Amino acid sequence: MQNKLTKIIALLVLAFSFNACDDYLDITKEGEQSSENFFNGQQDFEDALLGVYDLLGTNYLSHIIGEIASDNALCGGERPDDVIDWQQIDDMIHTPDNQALRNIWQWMYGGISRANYIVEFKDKVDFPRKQELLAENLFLRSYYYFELVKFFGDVPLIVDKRISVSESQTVDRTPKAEVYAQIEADLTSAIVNLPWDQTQPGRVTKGAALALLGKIYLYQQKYDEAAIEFQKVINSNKYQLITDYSTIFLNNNENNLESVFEIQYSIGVEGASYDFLQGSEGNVAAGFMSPRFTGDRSNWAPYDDGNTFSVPVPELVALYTAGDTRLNPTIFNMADYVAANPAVTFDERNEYTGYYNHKYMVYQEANLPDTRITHGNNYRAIRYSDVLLMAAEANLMANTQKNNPQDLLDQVRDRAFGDENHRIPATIDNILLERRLELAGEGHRFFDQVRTGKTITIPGFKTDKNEVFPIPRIEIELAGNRWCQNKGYATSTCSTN
Amino acid sequence: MGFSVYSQTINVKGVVKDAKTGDPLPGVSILIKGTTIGTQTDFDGLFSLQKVESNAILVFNYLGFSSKEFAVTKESMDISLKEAAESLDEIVVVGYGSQRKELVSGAFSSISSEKITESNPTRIEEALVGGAAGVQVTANSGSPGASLNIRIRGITSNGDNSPLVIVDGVNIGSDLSIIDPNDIEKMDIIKDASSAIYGVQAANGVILITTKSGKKNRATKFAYNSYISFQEASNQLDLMNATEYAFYVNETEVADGNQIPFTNLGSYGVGTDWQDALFTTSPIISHTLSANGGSDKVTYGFSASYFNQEGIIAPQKSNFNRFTIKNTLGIDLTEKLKLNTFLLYTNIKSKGINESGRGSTLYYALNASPLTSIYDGSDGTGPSGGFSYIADNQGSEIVNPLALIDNTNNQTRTNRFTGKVELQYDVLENLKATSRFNFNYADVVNRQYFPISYYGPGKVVNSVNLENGVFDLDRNDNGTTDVFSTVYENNQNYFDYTFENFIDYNFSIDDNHNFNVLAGSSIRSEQFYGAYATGFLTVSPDRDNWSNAYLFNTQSFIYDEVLDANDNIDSENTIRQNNNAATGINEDRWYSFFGRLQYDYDSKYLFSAMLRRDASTRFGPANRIGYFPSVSAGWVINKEDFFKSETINNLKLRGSWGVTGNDKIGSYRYLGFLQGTNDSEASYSFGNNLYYGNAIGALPNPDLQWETNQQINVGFDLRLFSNKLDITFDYYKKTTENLLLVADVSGIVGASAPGSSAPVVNAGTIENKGLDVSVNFNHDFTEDFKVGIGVNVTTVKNKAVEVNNAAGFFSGGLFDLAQTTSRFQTGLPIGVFYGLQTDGIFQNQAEIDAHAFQPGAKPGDIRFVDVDEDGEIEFGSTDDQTVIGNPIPDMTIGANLNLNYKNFDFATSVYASIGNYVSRSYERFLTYSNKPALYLDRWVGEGTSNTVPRATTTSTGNTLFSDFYVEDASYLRIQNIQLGYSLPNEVLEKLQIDKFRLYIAVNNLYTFTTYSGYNPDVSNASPLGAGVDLGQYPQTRTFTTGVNISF
Repeated sequence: MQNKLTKIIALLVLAFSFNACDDYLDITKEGEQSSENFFNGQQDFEDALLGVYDLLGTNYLSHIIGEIASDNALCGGERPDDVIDWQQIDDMIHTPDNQALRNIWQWMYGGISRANYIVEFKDKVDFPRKQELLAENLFLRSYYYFELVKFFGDVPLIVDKRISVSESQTVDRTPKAEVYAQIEADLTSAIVNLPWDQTQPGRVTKGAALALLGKIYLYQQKYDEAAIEFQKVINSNKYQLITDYSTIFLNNNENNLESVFEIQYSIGVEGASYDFLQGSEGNVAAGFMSPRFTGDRSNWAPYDDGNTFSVPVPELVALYTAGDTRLNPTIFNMADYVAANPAVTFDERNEYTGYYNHKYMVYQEANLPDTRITHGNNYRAIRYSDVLLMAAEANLMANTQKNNPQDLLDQVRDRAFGDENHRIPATIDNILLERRLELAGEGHRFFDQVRTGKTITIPGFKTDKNEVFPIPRIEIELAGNRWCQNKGYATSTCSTN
Repeated sequence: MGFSVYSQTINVKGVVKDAKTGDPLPGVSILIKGTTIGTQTDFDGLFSLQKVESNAILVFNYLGFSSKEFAVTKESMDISLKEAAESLDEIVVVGYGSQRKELVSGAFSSISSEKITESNPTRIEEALVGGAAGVQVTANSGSPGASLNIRIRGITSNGDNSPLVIVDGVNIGSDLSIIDPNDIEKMDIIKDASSAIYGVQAANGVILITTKSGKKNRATKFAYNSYISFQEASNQLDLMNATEYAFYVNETEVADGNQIPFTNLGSYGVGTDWQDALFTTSPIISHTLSANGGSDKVTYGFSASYFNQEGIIAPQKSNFNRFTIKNTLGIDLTEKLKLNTFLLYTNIKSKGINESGRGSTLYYALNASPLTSIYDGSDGTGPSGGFSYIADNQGSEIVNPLALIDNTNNQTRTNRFTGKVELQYDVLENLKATSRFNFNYADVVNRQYFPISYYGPGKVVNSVNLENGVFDLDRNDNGTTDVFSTVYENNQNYFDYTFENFIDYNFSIDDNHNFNVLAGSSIRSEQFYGAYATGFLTVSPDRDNWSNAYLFNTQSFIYDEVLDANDNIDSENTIRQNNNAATGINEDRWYSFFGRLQYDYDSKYLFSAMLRRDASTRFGPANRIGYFPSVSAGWVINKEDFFKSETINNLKLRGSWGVTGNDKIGSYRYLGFLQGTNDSEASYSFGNNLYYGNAIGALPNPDLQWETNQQINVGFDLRLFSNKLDITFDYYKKTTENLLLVADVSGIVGASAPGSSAPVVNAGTIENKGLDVSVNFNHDFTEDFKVGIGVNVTTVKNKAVEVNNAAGFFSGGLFDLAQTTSRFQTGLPIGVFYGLQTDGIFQNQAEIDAHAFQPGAKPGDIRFVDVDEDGEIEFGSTDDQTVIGNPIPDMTIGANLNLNYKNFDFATSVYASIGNYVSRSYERFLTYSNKPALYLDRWVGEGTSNTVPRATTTSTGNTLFSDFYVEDASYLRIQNIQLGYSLPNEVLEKLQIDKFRLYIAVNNLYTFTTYSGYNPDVSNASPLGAGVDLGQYPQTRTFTTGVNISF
């Protein structure tokens, strides 16, 4: 007995002390897919592409900044330091430490990185829809790069693959012109493979890509090229102006005939949280821009209440002339509303002007409790009237006209007034003013002001500085301190001043 | 010595007792020293010896007890013998074995069972507070069952800083609640690099716990310990009452250019005290019963315990209930083969409420208006449940804390087994082979019920809206319910095993060269499986009764279709909501070899060297093997011939150096995994349908490897005055390199996309250095009066030597809604508070004009320091931010005093922390939220205050994170006071029991501090949020009465 046990023990000790069990460590995570073994069929590509689309949802931030940075709106909010990053952008005193600007940077590169992940593995397998899928991917990447260029000017251009943390410290900023050249080329090649119509609303179409390409040309003052692309959109006859302006932004009129590209939001399927707004499937901007009603919720139905940011200024309201049907759908006038609904009470809060952005107010949709950050109304990213106005501007400035600027402007103007009696001459100033009136509250104003140099009306705007936002200081540091800060924002040694 | 006395003989008689229990000891051998003359005690411990020379020495020997010598001076002798294992000076558990303390050259601290009993701990961690130099314990929360943070010699890692805990050779993992502190015989803490024997898991130090067990040839000893405690909140925050609040709000509104809201200021009184409404007095009940003993081949120890603690907030919904059974059994299977088993079963039932941070009951209580009553006077059947609504102007996230509690329903049940089977084979007399298998198995079942809840207009946590004054359960008005309560259930299973084999060989050369060699191997696997699901409860929702809230009564989705006029699906009004189920699965493995050489020359020169080779699956194949060496040496000076001292009984110099590792990061972080298409964040809507795609989750880092911790330690042990005074002194320096952290990374790598996150990287070096000093004094002034005093002091100087993420720092912590408080930055202590520096209050416009430009500044606003001296205070920028406090204390001091007088015993301990700062992060800066009373001393005009700013909510800078919100939270806490009375021997003999002791105790009696929040030692597990007070549950003060009986 004792002998036997002795042997057993001796064996056990031997077996486990001196057997090199290296395969004991050969395990990996069961049931989870590694990032390097993906893209094994069409479904994988489609799933990855959804991940690229996902970042469009973060557009709420660009939308809000585009308004409050401009002369259209004040920041508002709960108190003067409520979202101080936005308050400072409104006042043009933002610094390189602005977290909102960093979010733009992070989220756009988040989308770009996901797009590049597809590019990295694009040759792995073939399937029928692949070229179209890759074209959608390039459109989205271009959209994100365009946002970056609008905000920051020169940005690092990464196009082939994902990059590692150590590689991130070896990349330089690419001159804006080269970034534009890349996205022009990407869009040009994408256009070939994109269809005019998609069965799923919100998928990228040829029209969307043409309009975005035209817009990118316009931003570079390449008017002739822009006019050509816009004309293709117009000639497609896929789009038309909605007769009743007041219905364009209604939640039940999403993806309408006027919509060239629309960022899709859905309601209520998932909840959302304030510390993870980039994960919301709803249009966060709407909740942030709505008034703060108080008391019984049924009093202010069908609207819902919000966080009182991005409040339009009286100067904007005053620009709408009598008979302009765009005023009410654009500007929510609290005094008028309370007069018509005496039971309504509300908190004025910071920088109260009496006006709110009526295009993107929240509604008591399906009566969800958290509509402020899950509102389902889509963001009309490129409307046909926007295309017409851009085309008018491009043709007016182009060497070779593809269309008559006056006709283009008239279409927009006629729809706004419901008649042909309010036409104005298609001068550059009139076209740009019309853009402001037509597109107020849609997040384009600041970038239009910058690209046309008409920034004098922005309180606090400093020329040769505020045309672009500062590269987030932390991003410069994390990328190895190799980039110079944008002009006027530099606090360190390296600068382009 | 050199003189003789006139010799005379006497007859001696006496009794021999167990010093600890007072039991008479039968069969004790008694010898007259230098002779063969002797006797034995009888069954009652009595002995007698005839005609002994006076001044002869009697030697008392008893198995399992330290031998003792007494000089014969009188006829009657009362002798107490101490149990050998009890005298903690003797043996130190050093990992895979133990060593006589005099031979130890590493830095260890030990805590005995007596010390543990004196502090009446409810958890292991509490027993460590102030008990051992170098060990700091901080609380996350005072809620029932809450874990505490143990830090041995500072914060060495950015991640998990908790030490490895080994119970009777079993690595029990991170949950320390499973052990009843009454079961602990002693705790040995390895503080220096001697922990290298545990390799890659030992960088944060090792705590080795020995549980009580029987001894050979001892009659079964039963012990029963029980106590009942009453707990109350140790303090409440000083907040404004209703009248003060109304004044303050009025002043704010006037300052902000608005109408006065409260006109009848005389009518408000003190109003609602929300804290009073929450806090209550709650009991703790504990019973422990044990039986230990042994025959000549078997030792056994059995114990069972029951522990129940109710929370001081909502005791019905916040409680902790533990039941344990422990069994140890040692059997000599043969002369040479010994079987040791250990089995611990723990059953825990617990319930909890939201207790810290922004969703907690206390955060709500601190910010709710004192003008709001608790109840709305309704019968509770309406949407409010009888609770008042907190108005929206106090914050859309602030709700009635009692309503929140009313809607909180959860329960966690844990069943856990920890076990060991160990065979020891004496191959030779001095060569021992050990094979040990141990495991932990736990099932954790958690169920939560979220009733349909409404807290008032505009509240973000509402799960339903009202329509015509009732819950709007049919949101799209199509006649069918589409709002449901939800049920969440999860079932988690944890299993780990360790299989270790080692041999231990002792030998001596020339008598004086003593060697002990250990070699062995270990494999370990930690496995996890969990399933999680949420469902909509489709049976009738009931706020108060959740007995039907199980997943089988739920469905996972809501689809409530509405058709438009054309019979098409009306996508805007059709309601779709779905819940996805999820699985978690994981396994980590380790494979290790280890060896150790211990050498001493005549117990005078000590040397020890060890090496462990670890391989961990936490790292990629190329980086997974690591070597962890350590050496230590000691010199026992008092053994030298040249050293002759009457006062110094022991003097030992020690020094050690070694390397340990840390792999406490998530599993497989060297690989990148996809998020999966189930409920992934990579989702997008086409039309109004949400589609789930796929994307990379946490980014991979194939180069990942463990962090290494290099530590040097030098120190000495000194015992003076007949061993009455015991001093241990250590200086240490720990350098952690290749720090594992999830660092902020450049946005261009794409880690900020939803559902993705930054990779874990090795990026940084932290240094901790300081002193551990402990001084203990024990003296028996008379047989009846004994005194013990102990003081230990620890200093830690922490510095991030390098934060290697390109930026050189990253931020964490939370203040207000989204500001960060803390930094981990090169050259600064980890987690240091970083914000604006204040310089009083602007008294008038002239001061503002004279000062660096500060946006929007008005008289009464905080004046900030222009740190970068550019003439402008930049808000929302780091330009003017600087270090404004360190949450890590400069020094901690633990002190305890024990007095024994006749049958009374008295013990007290105090704990002090000096130089730790806390950030007050529980204020909601709205006009109508309530304020701490410190704002009563606010600025109301020139010269009124230079510390507290004016009442306003339109200032541009007052609510930015600054040193106004950081307080010195140094404190001195009377940790414990205990007074006990033991029945005298005469009575015990009549009752035929060995011991009967009654005691009363107060824990956490009082804390001296200037900190204005609940806990000056508030902490968070993360080093980057340490000292950020989010309104955490306060520490409790407990009043205890208890009894210890053994027979």
